[in-house]
Amino acid sequence: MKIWIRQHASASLSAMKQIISAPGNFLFNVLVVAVALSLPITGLTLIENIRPVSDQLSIAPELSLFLKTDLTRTDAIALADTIKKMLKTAGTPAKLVFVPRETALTGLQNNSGLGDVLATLGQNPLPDAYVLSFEQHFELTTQQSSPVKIEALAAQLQKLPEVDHVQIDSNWIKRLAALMHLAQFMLVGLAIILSIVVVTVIFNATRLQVLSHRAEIRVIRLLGATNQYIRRPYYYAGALLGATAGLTALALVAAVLQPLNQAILEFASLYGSNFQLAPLNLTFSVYLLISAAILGLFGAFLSVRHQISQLS
Amino acid sequence: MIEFKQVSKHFPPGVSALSDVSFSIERGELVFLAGPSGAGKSTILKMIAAIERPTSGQVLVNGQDIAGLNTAALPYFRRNIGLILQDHALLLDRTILENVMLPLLIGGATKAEALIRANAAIEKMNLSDKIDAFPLALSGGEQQRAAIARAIVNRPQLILADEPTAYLDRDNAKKVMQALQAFSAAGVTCIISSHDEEFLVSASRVIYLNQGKQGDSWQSAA
Repeated sequence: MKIWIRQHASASLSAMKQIISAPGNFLFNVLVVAVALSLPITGLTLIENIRPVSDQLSIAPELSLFLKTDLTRTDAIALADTIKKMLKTAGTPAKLVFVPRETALTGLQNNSGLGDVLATLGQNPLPDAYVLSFEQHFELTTQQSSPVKIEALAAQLQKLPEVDHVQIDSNWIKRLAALMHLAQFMLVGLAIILSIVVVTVIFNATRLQVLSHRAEIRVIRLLGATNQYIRRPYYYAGALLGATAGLTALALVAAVLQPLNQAILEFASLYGSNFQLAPLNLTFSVYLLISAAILGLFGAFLSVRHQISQLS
Repeated sequence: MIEFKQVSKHFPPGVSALSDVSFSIERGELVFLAGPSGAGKSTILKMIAAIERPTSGQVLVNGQDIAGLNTAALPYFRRNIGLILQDHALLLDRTILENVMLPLLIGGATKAEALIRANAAIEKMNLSDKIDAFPLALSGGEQQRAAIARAIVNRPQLILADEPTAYLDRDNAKKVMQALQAFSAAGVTCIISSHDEEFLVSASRVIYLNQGKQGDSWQSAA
């Protein structure tokens, strides 16, 4: 056991010597691997920052009822009583606001920037509408759907002959949740692809190291070195390369967050928020460093096994 | 200790390096393999060190057939052999001390232990003043003596020397040969390939080879 520990200590020292003997090569490889690692780390940082915001998002759900365009104003206003009765029956108290088509058009002209286009239409294409704001607040996590009661009410309202279309205005939250899922899925895909890139870069770096030490390997083999003894320094060098690149990637991402946060702060302040992107926490960072070291070790393992078997 | 039984070695495409060679060497013998270049001397040494395997026949070292050595056993087998190559095979980026310590560290010795034994081996080869020098700063003779120090540091039972005096002047060649004779006198089996006739008289036995075939052997009366 003592011999085993001694030989591992000697191998790690030997790996350090290899790195010190060619610092330029090592730094170049670290940069290449760090750039590859920084992409998924950036994605992970963004998701980890957005997740708490989206998870805690709370809204007052709304239903928009768009009435048929041929409905008279009197019939449209009279529909309010029917809607109130239905709300009472469904047990979903809500504030009911009638939005006349003229008001909707004015709002659209003022806010959309399409005023000139809408003026050319000649007549108002918008219908009268009701907006139902429910008093009940509920959390919309990425997993949670709208309450069943509101969806059932929307289905009932859709059946009214005066109603053309019912829109549940909390649907965008579902879309955001779906988008988050998609982003996570794409991040996993990106991480897998870039892991392969990292392993390939370290495989090649190790291959060049082994080739440049061919004569030495030949000699120490004649002196009785086992394959494990020959391979160990390269394993340590690979793991060290991976870990250093991981650390560099974390530093790169943290450095990029500084100017990005200034821009985000300016934008967020317009909405009265002080939202900022934070670097990954310590636990996550340690996991990433370990993962990077394992990738480095794996790349070196594949390369050394291949090269040493070719040399023998 | 070493036995060759009708050993032949062919390299593709159809080059015969050894043909039906048989001999045995006892513990403590100083044996020269003599003959012109291409006679098969180096091939015999490589077979004893299990660097090459015979195409046919058997090579036994301490009763162990080298053909039966697997990858895992090979390094441990080689740790009992002191190998001196024609080109000395010192690692150029390490000092003489580091080179000599290497077999001990590979074998699992502590650094302190390796340091003591390497210093002793270097002193025996009269290279104590060159201990921190790199191989390229040494003369050919000094490099070869450093290689001998590395070969003996593990206290091997067997020393194989492939043309150890090939690139040396007379004085350095004599020093190297005297060192090898001293080890043989101490009970270490030494097998030396050489085509230098001057040193053959110091051998207990000479095995002549020519184009891979075994010629007459000469044995010292002593």
